Amino acid sequence: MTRAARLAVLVVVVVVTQVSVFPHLRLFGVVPDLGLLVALAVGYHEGPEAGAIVGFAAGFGFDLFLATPLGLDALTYAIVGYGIGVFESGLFRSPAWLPSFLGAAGGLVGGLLFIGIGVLAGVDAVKGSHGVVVISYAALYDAILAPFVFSLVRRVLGSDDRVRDAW
Amino acid sequence: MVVIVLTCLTLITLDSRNGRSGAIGSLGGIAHRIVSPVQNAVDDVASPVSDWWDGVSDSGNLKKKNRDLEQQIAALKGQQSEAAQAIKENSDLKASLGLQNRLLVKNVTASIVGTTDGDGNFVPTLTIDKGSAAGIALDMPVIAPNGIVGKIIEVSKNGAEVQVFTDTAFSVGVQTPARVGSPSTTGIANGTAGSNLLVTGLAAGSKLHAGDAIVTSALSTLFPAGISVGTIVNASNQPGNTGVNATIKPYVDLGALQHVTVLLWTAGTPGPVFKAPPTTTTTTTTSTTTTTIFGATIFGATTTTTAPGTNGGTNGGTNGGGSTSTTVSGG
Repeated sequence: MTRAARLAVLVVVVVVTQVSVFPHLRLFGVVPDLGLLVALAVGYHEGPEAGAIVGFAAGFGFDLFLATPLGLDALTYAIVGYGIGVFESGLFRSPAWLPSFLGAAGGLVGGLLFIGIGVLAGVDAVKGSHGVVVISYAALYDAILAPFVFSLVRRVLGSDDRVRDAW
Repeated sequence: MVVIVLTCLTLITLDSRNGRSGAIGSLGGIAHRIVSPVQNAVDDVASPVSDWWDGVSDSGNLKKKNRDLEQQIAALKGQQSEAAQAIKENSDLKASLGLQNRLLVKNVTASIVGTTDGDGNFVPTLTIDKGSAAGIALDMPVIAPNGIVGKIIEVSKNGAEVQVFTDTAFSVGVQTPARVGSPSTTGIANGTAGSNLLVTGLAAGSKLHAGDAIVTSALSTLFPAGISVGTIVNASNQPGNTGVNATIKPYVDLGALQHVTVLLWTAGTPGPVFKAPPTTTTTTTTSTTTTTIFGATIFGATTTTTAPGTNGGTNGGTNGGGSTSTTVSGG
């Protein structure tokens, strides 16, 4: 199976897991952004374009199950996936805590992007201080899950010169 | 990346304008149909885990909610108790007002502000919130709407101590109801430290029945005549046929009292204590089985049928509570 096919399966599994399992595993009342973490991991391992494409796919898949406008998560995840690819190119070393840090930072940036674009798109539900609290908790949850997702993505992608050992 | 951004913006715009209709809506519907079996299966399996997880991850919030709810329950219980207390107080005050309206002698209604164990014998005395400033003096009778309570044994300017009828040192002259062939007889009712009173000195041969109403006698120097005391529970002849003793159950429940009325009355005060009630006629048919023991007729199964009329209730010389008179005028 090609890398692209494996990534496609991973995206489907992540979306199904996100909408089926994690609603039962809320932390402080929020769910993590698994699709965002996958976009982060792929962007980190494969570069900005791959991160953007996978982020778009995962976000679009997630959008199908949400009441927010279709494309909102897709755009958010794609931008974060692209951004992490750009950021990764400037890294000289990868400490063990990097996935958690990227998960938290990516969760916060992604959450703020989601709110910002959502406000521009007229989504009232994301307005107010409650949204900031939610993305803060979601970012914390993302930071906890990030090492596992990064490891999973690395395994899915297989050994490659570009894959960094983040552990 | 530019293509992705443009695509997303187009999707967002279309979705915001048109909602989930057309191709986009269909796509969402298909996705839901595909995933819903998985969601249902996970729901079935994960619900217990989910409940447990919610308890673990949200325990702080749950504890806070629990504390809040406990506080709410306590507050509601307090309100409920206050409401019940207010209802009882209202009822008591209405009864006290009714009593005051019937009294001809000066009187003072006082609230019970405390109870104490008198002389260490575990017989409580009552502390009331009115004293000599209100005209209360030693030995004045204390009553409730349905009967005697006790007498004043200590007075200060704004408070007084009431010796209650359960105190073994308390005694009051009482009389039994008169009936055909058996005139009213008098005796002394004494406190027993229990809930009942013991009447001694009733004349031998007295006809007494369970439920007979006992009132204070005119010979009493402590209470005006005709104030309700209680009803006969049982009676027994004394050895040598020297007299009859009777146990009476007082009308007043001391534990439930909140207000009492102090009669500003002393022995020798002329005139009646109560207004005469409106005259009504009540026809009562009674069939009684009696047993005679050494000259005293006591007890019996009393069946009373009362025709429509009014029961005088408390005081005024006769009292409710299973009187066996054939005709009662007034109450």
